[in-house]
Amino acid sequence: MSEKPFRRVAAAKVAEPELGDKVHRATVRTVEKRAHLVAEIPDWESLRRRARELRLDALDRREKLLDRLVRRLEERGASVTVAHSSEEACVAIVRLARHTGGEVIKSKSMASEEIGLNAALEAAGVTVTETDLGEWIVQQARQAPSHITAPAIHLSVEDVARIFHERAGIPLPDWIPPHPSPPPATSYRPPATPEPVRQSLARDLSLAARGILRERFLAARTGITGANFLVAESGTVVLLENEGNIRLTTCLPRRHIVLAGVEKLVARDEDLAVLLRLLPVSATAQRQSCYVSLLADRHPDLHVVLLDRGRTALAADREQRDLLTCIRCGACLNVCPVYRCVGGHAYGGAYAGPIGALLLPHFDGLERHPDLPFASSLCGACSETCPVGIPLHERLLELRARLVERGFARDLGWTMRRAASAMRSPSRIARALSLYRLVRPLVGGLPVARRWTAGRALPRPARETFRQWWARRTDRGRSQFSVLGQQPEPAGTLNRNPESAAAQPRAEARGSVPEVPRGSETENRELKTENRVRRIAQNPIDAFASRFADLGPAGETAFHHVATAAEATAIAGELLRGAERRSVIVEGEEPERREYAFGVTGAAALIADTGGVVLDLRRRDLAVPSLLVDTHVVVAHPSRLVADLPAFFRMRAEKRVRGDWYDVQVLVTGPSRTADIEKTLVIPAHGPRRMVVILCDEPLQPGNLVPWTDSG
Amino acid sequence: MRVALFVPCFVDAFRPKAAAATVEVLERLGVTVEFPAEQTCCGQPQFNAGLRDDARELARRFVDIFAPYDAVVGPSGSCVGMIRRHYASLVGEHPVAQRTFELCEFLVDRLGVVDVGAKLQGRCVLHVGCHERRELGATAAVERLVGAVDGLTRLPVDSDEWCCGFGGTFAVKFPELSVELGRRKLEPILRAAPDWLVSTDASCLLHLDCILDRTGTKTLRTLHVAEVLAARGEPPA
Repeated sequence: MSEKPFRRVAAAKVAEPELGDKVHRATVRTVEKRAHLVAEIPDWESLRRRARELRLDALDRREKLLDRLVRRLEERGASVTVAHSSEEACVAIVRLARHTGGEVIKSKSMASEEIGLNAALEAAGVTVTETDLGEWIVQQARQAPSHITAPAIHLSVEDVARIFHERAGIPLPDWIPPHPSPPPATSYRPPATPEPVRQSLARDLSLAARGILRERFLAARTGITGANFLVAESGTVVLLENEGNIRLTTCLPRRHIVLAGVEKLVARDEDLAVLLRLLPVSATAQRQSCYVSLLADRHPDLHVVLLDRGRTALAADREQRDLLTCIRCGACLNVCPVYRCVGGHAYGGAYAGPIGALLLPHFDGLERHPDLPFASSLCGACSETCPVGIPLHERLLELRARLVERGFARDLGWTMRRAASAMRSPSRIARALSLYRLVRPLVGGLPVARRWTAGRALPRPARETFRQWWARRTDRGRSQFSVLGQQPEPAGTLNRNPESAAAQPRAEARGSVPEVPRGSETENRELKTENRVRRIAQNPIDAFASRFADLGPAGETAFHHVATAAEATAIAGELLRGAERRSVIVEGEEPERREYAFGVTGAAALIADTGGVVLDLRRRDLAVPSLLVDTHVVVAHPSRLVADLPAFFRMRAEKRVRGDWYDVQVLVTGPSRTADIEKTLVIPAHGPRRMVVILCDEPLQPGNLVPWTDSG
Repeated sequence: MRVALFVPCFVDAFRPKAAAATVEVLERLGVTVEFPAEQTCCGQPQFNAGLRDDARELARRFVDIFAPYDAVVGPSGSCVGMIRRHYASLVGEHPVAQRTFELCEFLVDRLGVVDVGAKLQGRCVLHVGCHERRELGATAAVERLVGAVDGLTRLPVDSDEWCCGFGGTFAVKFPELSVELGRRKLEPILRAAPDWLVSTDASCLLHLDCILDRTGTKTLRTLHVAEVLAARGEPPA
């Protein structure tokens, strides 16, 4: 089966009004934010190297690790299925979803896009609702996602408003015509409607979606999620998100189905300390995602479907196997000039951009996507940005060679071989050039030249080649030397500016191959890392407070550090003034399946470097006080502060060995948020709108914080 | 030290001034260059098209022709990137590949020169080609050289680090896309309205010139960085 050639799809996408503008605006914004953030992370390059090493290591030991993972999961009562094809995976999941009856909610999963899961569920009569805002938007529009982490990146706020109007009856603002009127394709002007108006609409639409989806969450019997990582050592399912929809999907329905590619395996829990620092920065330009769920619990109804679908074959491919180390951050899409012009749908599969141009041929077959490895100008921006150091553009070059070997890339082969033959001697080049000079004025409109002349003039050769110039110059001697119409210089004059030469920091000629002077930069970065670590260690409370404040740009976070329990209680009293008892849920109480105004919890740890709060949960549904609430109040003792993510994972390992912690931890880094419509930040998404952290020097239980005596 | 001049095939035919200017800059600094007349092409077009055998043949040819020299200098980050970063996959690690330099990195890293005494009055936008930037890591060298040109002001634009959209094979395999990348690259540049668009790579300029030519934009002129470094005050012809 052959797809529509990428060339034709791309040409159509380029011509599609505003598409490239929309994708450019969103990707450029993310790339800039990410660059600022990376500049603040001194050990970024060493993190990338470690990530590559540990991902390759997991790949090498994949069989052993897979066995271990399956054992750990089965010990906890989970069923595990390894599916080799889309069909196998769909059959397994449809069976599981039908068994419970009722609604299915689902969080973002690229593997599910890969296997066409939603179509399979619908064909079997199962209603499935996507819960990530971007995914929900494209589901409403009956489209596929066009980006790994920003599914609706190809839609403007106007587009989204029209979709919501049509599908959910949400009124269309006056300034949006019901049908788009495309501007001329040549304009790259920013949208006419002022940014604040657009942002305000993006906010309204995001909140409307929250309202609609809330009912689906509460009604669902089955939740389907993907997994960002699967830890073999502990059988932990790791899920990152910002909206809170994944937490709701894993907490509320009775049955939880996990669908993940087998390449999501990592060996050890401590590996997460590296990967969880790289992924949010690369994916959404955040130091940490809002929620990181670490699920290692004995769940009564957990089913894990591991998707192979070409992964084992790719793992055995010595040249290209590192494609399986990809952590699906989407950073290579954001920097790709081709992706920015055509968006994700042009690639004809679940994955887009440089990684899509590589994975689709491997997963679907090279013959199905013979154009994709060529869909790159080889600018190398993808390889430069990849957080796990995959040299993506080199992998594309290798696939091109394979396509040629297998006879799939014939169209340019003949021309290029002719060119190669001309390049065997200067005289052949000269003949070809004379011919070109002769025919150039005539051939512009002929089909043979159209691959160049669509939008471009044919290049003008110079009247005299360099070669001819050089020969003439050598004949006449150097006194005739004249370039750019200037006077010749007196022989032997060295026009080096002596002062500036003296001022050169690297004025001496170097004998060896030049390298970018990285030594001093590396030292500098190491110093910065040390400084950062020392600063956090010296004053973890200030470090936490400043990071936590950043998580609520419009005052959605508040931090208090008090000496006494009385002061803490006074702050809580002020917060809860006028609240009804039934609108407040305190950690330890049995939650009802409904929304509360306030949730009060403790914290198992606080992470100074990210402003994160760690919750340790005995049961998944005990997440309600931190999730189905408007304001989440956290009370903790300063001794709970840890410096950073690696310190947290060390602590988690110790606590779990000693049995001090339960089997579900959630890292909460600020109130829930989304930026799925034109990258406009909206707080809240599906979780709390506001977070208050009260750090109290005296020991204090959450129950003691509320003014009612019945709790705690 | 015997220094050979490597003139990429399209520079020879379409922008010979860049090569002549390279000769002038080097000779001014007391470096005598030789031009091995048998040279043709580095093989990048074939390599990028997936024709490894054809590329290998041209790579062998290149390393043989340039073997007698202590250094090879060429006015193209793209071709030098091909030689230094990709020849190993065709002909194995080869000393000639490691002795091949793009003009700017040769000046700054090998000769230790940042101010070549160039003079050019006006404003420019600088496009450091993608391979110069990412495969050779020579952006700083180019920026320092251009920054030291007397009278020349550099205008930063949003698209400074963007690809021009040429990409060799890419330009003919996906013409609509290639032109679109070029137009998006050019748009902020045209808004900044510099006197010149300066690049390390004649191939990027060739592609962009052809787009400007077709759209009838006459206000922006392109210059190879070697032409800028060779300028002595008179606006280049």
